[in-house]
Amino acid sequence: MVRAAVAIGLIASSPSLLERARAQTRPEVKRIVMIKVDGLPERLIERYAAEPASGGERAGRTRLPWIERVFGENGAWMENFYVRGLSLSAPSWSLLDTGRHLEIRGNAEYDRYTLRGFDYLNFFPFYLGYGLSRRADMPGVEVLDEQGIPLLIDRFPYADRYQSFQLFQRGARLNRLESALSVKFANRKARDIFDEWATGFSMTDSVGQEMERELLEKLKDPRIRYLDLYTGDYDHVAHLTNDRVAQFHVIEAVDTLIGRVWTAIQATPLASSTALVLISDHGMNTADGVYSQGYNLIDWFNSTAGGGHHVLTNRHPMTEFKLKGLDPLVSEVISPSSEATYLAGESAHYPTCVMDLDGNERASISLRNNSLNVVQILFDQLIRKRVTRGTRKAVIDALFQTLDAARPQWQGNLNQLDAALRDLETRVETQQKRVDSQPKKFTREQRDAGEDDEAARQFSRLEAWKAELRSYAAYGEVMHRLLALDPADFDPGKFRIEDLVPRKSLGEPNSIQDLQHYVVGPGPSGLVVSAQGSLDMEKSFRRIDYFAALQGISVRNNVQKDVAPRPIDFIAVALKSSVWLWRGADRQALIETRRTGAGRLELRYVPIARIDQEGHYDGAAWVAGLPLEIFEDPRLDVPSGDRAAWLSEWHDERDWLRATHATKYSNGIIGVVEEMLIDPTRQSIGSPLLDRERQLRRPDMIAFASDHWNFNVRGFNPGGNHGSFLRVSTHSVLMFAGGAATGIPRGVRIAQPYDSLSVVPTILALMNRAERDLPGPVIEELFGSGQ
Amino acid sequence: MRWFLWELSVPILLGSAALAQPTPDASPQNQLESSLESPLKSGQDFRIEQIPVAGGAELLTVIVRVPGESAEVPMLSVLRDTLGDQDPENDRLRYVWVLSDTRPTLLNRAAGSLPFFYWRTDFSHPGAASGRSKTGDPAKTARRPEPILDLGSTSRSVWTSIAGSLTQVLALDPEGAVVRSSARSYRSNLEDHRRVHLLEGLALLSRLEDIPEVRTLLSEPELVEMQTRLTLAGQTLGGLVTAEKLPEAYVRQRTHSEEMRGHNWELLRQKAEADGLYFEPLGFNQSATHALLWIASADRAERKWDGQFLGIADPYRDPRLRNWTGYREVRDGREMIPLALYALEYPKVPLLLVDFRDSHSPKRREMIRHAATDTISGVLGISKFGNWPFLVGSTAFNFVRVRHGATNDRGGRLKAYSQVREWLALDGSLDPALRAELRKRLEIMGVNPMEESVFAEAAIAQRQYAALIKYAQDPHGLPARLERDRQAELASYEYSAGERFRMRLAKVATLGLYSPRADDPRTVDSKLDEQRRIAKETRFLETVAKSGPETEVVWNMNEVRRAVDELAASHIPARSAEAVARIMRQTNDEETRALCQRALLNLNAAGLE
Repeated sequence: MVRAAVAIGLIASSPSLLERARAQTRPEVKRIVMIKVDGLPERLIERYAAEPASGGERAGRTRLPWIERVFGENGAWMENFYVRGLSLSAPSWSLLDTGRHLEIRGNAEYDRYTLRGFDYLNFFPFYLGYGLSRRADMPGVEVLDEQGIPLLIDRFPYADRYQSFQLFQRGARLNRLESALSVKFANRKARDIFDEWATGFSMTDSVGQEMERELLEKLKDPRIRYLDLYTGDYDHVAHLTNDRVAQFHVIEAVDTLIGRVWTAIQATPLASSTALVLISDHGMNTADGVYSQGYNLIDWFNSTAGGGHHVLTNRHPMTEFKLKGLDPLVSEVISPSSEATYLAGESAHYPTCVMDLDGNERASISLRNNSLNVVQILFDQLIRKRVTRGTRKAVIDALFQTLDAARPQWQGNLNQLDAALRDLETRVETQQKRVDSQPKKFTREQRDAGEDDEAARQFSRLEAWKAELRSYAAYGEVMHRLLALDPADFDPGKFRIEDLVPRKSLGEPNSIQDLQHYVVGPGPSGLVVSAQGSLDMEKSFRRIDYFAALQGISVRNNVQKDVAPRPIDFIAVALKSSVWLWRGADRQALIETRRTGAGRLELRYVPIARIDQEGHYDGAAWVAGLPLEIFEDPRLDVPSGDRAAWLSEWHDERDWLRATHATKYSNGIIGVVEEMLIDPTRQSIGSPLLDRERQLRRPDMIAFASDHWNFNVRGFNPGGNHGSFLRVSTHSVLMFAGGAATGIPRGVRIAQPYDSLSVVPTILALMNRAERDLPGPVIEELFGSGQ
Repeated sequence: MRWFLWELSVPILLGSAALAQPTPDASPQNQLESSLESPLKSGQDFRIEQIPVAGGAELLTVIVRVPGESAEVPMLSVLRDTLGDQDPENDRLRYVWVLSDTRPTLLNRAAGSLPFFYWRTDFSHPGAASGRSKTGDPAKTARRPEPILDLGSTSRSVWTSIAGSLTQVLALDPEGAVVRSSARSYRSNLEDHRRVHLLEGLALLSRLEDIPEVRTLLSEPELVEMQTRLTLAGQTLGGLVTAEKLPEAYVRQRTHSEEMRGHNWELLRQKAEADGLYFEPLGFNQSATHALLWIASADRAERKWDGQFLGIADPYRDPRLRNWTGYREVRDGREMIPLALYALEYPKVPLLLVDFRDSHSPKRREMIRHAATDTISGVLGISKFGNWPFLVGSTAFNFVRVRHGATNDRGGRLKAYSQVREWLALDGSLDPALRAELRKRLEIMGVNPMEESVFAEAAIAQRQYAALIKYAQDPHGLPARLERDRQAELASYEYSAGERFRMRLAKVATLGLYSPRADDPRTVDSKLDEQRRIAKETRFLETVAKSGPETEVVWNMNEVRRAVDELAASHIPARSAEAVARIMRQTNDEETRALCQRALLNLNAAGLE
């Protein structure tokens, strides 16, 4: 009986025993240290880590001895790691820091209805707000929080993590800045300080040194399980110069940093279970001897050829030459057009083009809704009494026909917005009570636990919601008034333009047809009435086909033989479940998506001749020169010899990545879908407004720069740029190394391609904290065959 | 300091071999729309002439085949003190001569002391134009050229300059406007004269980086040292920067220069595009340092014009272009007229050097700037440092002006001026007629009365080189000077700076009756050989020590042990003990640790004795 009981007990407990035994023997990363390097290209690391150092003093060593030692010999080196989506810092770090699909799709984004800006790279307003206890997080983190998307560091309690200055930063230690000064001068000989002063003093270096000092100090604390250190030095230098020496100098600084951090880790009690990760958010299109050429799209959109738009961006063009450029808090700049027609002098109220140019190898472009343009032109004529009695009826008829055509969509969206705003009002009230009940002062212990940051976070959220409520309500009010107009008793004299056309708003998104027949002003002969007495809608307006016009831009001063005269490579537009790529009338393609029964995403690339807004298209033959240049690329790796056949089939992302990653545009086919179609899943249920906001931040189209071209307008980036899907810009760094207990393999080169979505799931899996709902695959090669 | 800096930028000068980027991203389908493709190819032909100097040294001279000159032109000489052996470990660079740099004549100096006199004079040295004396011997007509830089004692020029400034402020400025403004003009012109030639030397050296033949005779560290010192010599306290900092300073300077060039290249290209002009970058070795703007004759119909940053008049409304008789070229069937030449290596904006329609325009601007300075500091005696309202006002004014693209940096303008002189003298790829046109206009631009004509530089250099050779071959000339330098160098190893200062003071105070004991000339070389090796090994170990943890990851430990061993054998000097101790702490290599420990014990024992 006793034996039986023991046997039953053993059997009953065996799974947990086994589980426990397995847990004890299974390797586990207990602490993660991440070195985040903005823009560091894998190809340069690969190259310098393989090149022998010169001189007998360093015989037998490579140019990057620490990277080779830590990751090459004792770690795992990802040879083919790519940015997913645009090769831009804000979206890319958002993917790397969350492990979820893109929520942030540019370095700056704008809400179409209100033109509220999301300036993800500008850290000055954040520091100011943080100093005043009005903000706790960088703008990117606020957006992710709002959408219920956690960061990797959120898995660690506040006291268990150390985060350096970076784009997706929670909280800020402003005393770092003053500490940076003491780091600069303390324990240094006067001679050294004089030498540095005489040859060029840099305070930026000292902030980096202070963060490194803090990291090394925090490593000594075994409670801290997550640490990271971010540096943007390489990205900064590579934008400014393509000089190999200047760039190598910065890369070498990263190498020495790795050496110091690795050595410090080895001196800690957690050394055997600590993993060190080197990661970059994108590559860099930089080449010795080739300057990256800029093309000013703001000037183009300002010009008559571009439509005479007033253009809104987040920075001053030619910042360095303006006193206003010194304003670190600026996030909204309107470049007025001197060639504007019906909006001449109205730049402050009616910017009709909004662009995010940051990153520079692409421009995200949003134009005001085409029907709103027509409506405003007609109102303008009516209100200012520029129409004759004979044409007045035709103009009013055209106005209401335009409104009637747009009404179903506009009214539907307005109704949804109204409902969402009612929900938001309730949330504001609740949030107000929460904020009111928060303590105003915090003890040292509370601050150490991050409670002050949490209070500031809640306050900031409340303020943001209130602002949203105001701005959306203002937009809704005007749009309701517009849609409520009745032709029966319409008297233009009773209105001002701003009563009927919302200021600083783009309205609803444009369709492909809108962008192909975009109204930029009255026609050369003004409004024209047809023989039938109706307004001739073709002759009455000047229209632009933006695809042909943008593609047609060419420069005369193209003095580098490796650079094409056309700055724009192709244009991408999102449709319902596909992305349309335009490179010319005879070079178009559609990337279609579908979900399998198991929910797996599959993609197909289809060359097309024409398409409508619903996605109906006429197919075309495979030819060279289609967008992304997959077909003709010798590095395309398809299982069968028949490229056209393979390319015409549906494949999942892994297959596409394996086949295309080495091509000129690497994982562009996946990237463009990620950028334009896929939404992340939330961990919490938010407001109904959130889905709408997400859609409102999306641009009408994205123009991609040709190789060695950029759209920077703040200044000049001749050294190099990123932002496109070119492999040189997407190929990034990811390397792992760890102590014996981490199980990270040693001396392994992983050729299998992976992208940004794999980073968080892999780190969590290494820490035995895998989360099943993360969309990216774990990097299996790090776990041997057992994982 | 990182090991990179020990390697003296390893790759810095390795160019193609080490750090040259591959060009995998070239798009073969790309086509040129404009025929104004950069002709960045150097037509010049460099070589280095090596002449032994008695006493164990050699004179290395960069000689160039200059376009338009029948004979080769020596451009720059450097004295390398080899201590008479073949071992490069104990070599040391000493003097640098920029051979186009002459000492101004008395008349030049007199002209240079005239306030508000901004014209180049023709009081040149006899034979300057031809480089020949009446007897046909160029050496006879030339005075011994003075080195522009003493690499063995870079601080001397700093103290001289500080002394000059103090004399100016304390003794001359209070003597009234005439003395003050004359003295200031004189000093300013003399300083500018020196800097122009320093920068010419720098421009030449930067052209040599990628030439393999040069690297066989001048090592990378030597080239880096010369370039960096030439740059630092143009800064007030630059001569005081320690040798250890030179590689890092070099990288900073290089990065800064490259950034400026790329920035201005883009700015000018985009301006040309916006204004309907044609942009043509120019320079040596794939490196654009200058750019020309052209207009096509057929494009002269009126159009929108924005001249910001260009500094030239609207060409679309300029009647001078309608009947243009000046230089022109036909390219791709289009007649092209040059409008302006710009220097790209200038902070923030391209610097206008030549305006083809108004040759005197750049000079007028330069004269106005000089006149403003001369009036304020010379005539009115207002100094920024003694008048804080003026300091605040002028700083704010200049800040705003520079922010809007004003070219207020006098040093930058001098550099641009030197570079263009050097480029025009050496670049054979330019159309000869265009080159002549540019040089003619550049000649007009000179505002320094002490400056030589650009057309005479080749002849001057030939003459000066002949004189330098003569000086080098004269036993009482360069060899004797070298001997004195070695004595001084040895003293710097054997005595502290304070001791040396006291000895010098005693010599001056006793009117030369007291003279410090000189080392026996027969033993100087061997002592210097040892000291230079110790200095080099010490510097190496300091670099190793500063390079971070786990020395063996980065360094060849055989070399580290050899250096420690060598220092231990030479009775390890106290200044290297810190480095050795640090290496001992940082390395896991037992053999090295033991060696370091022994070396330090020896030092302690020596200290106890």
